[in-house]
Amino acid sequence: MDSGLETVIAGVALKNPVVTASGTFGSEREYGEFIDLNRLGAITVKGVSDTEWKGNPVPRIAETKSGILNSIGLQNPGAEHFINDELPFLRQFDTKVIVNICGHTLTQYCSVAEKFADSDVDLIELNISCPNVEYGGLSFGTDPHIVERVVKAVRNYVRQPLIVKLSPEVSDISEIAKAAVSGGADGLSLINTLKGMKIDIRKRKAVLANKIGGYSGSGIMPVALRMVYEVCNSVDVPVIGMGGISTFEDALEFIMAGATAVAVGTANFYNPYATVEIINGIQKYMKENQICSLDEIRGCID
Amino acid sequence: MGIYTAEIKSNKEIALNIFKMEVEAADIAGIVKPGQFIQIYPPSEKNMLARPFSVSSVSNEGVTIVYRIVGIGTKLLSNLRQNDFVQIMGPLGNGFTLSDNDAGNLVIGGGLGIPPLLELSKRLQGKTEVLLGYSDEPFMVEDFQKLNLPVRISTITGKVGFHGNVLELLKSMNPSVGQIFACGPRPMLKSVSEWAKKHGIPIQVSMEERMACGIGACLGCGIKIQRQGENDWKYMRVCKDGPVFLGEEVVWDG
Repeated sequence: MDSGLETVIAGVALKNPVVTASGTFGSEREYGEFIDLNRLGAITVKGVSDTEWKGNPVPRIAETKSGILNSIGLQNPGAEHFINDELPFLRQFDTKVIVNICGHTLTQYCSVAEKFADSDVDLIELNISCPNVEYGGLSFGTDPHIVERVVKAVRNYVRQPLIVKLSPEVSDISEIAKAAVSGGADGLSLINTLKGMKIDIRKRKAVLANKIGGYSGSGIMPVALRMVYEVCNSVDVPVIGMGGISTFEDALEFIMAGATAVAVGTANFYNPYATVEIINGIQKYMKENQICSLDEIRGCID
Repeated sequence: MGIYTAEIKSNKEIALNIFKMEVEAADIAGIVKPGQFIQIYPPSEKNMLARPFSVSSVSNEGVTIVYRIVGIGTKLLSNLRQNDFVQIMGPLGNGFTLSDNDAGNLVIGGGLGIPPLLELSKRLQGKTEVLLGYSDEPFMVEDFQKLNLPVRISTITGKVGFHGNVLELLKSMNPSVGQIFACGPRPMLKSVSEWAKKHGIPIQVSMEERMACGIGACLGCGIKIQRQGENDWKYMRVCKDGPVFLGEEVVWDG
């Protein structure tokens, strides 16, 4: 069905390059009411921690002119609950499963990685880039030395290929990417959200309870594209590009910048059909332009 | 579940900045329960999140919502005219649980929490009384009066009916009822729930929170809920696990 779209990430074969971005696809049951989950190249699940995390206070969402701010705080029921109650549901579908793991401390990262070591997941995505948690998350993702150390430590506990998700909140994304690869990353995904803010001028208060949240959506796409381009030109591991993708044209831009796969995030909130529309759009584009394989256009921007 | 293109049958201002919109949506009308909501996409060239609105009333052909202009999304919706089309999604969430109660029902609404109580009041069986609280100018009162139910009004300014808020009206009546259904601002729901608890009356409250997806995926619209028998609260989703919750299970201070 997806002829020419097959994509390999760190040895894992995806039927197409379109995956969901972590934290934007619920427990997947929700979108299964709108789309056929079998169509997706892979599903990246919401960040999973060692034990249950309650998440941040509400309001957690603010819409802005070209995207949204969120401050969910990685609310999740913990690894055990995920493995027992959610993973079997996902495994009914013919799609790959990427588990995004998060922690407040290095020990927690290692512990959650270990819990997934014997579980039936295809790839692990290490989240060292969430702006919405006080400890861990972003604080581990902005210093190349720490990045390398964290990746190396977690690597020891991960059995699956390891993808490291990078934050744009750095001065040189290539440097961080190289550090992650040198720590043992088999692939990279970028970008996570940018830190942002919105103020309600009538109430004279920040809209988000935490005041600052993660900015995502179409407004961040040029920044994300530039960073994916830079990273693809500085490391040799596959990159999952993301940041504001809402159409197949956006997805193709990332692929031309060098991304092996693309992740659709915030667009799901606007349009539950976004992922499937993007897959169909890429297929149509390939047919119209007589492209047999995405390799023909991947990284075509020097 | 899907997204439908729906024709607007009417979209009129019924009070200052408050609009009543009827959309043709037979698929939703056939299954929607009181307390459930729909999402409507504001007409825009740019990506905009769909806006959630509780269903106020249902006919064979469609559903009606009542909304206030609070931002750009509702402003855009207010500009729509009869025969325009909008994209809608629904029905979403869980509605009120309608169980018969011999001791009678009390329906309590405050401000923009009043609309979803209309369809509820229509469908409730048995003796039902309605309390509607406004800050100043009442709206939708005649819709409730048409149901031939006793309706009492309170206004904070004293413009119409009881002078005070709806909790004060409730306290002044001290009614003996079997169950309460309420929707309104959070402080109102909190105080009414506390009153209900004190009097041992079960209460269902319909809650509101800022949402992104409306279908349970983003975890944006958290509400602290402590289920009976559990020893701690957790954030549940207003959109998917609610918007109706038992008043006693909502963690009001936090």
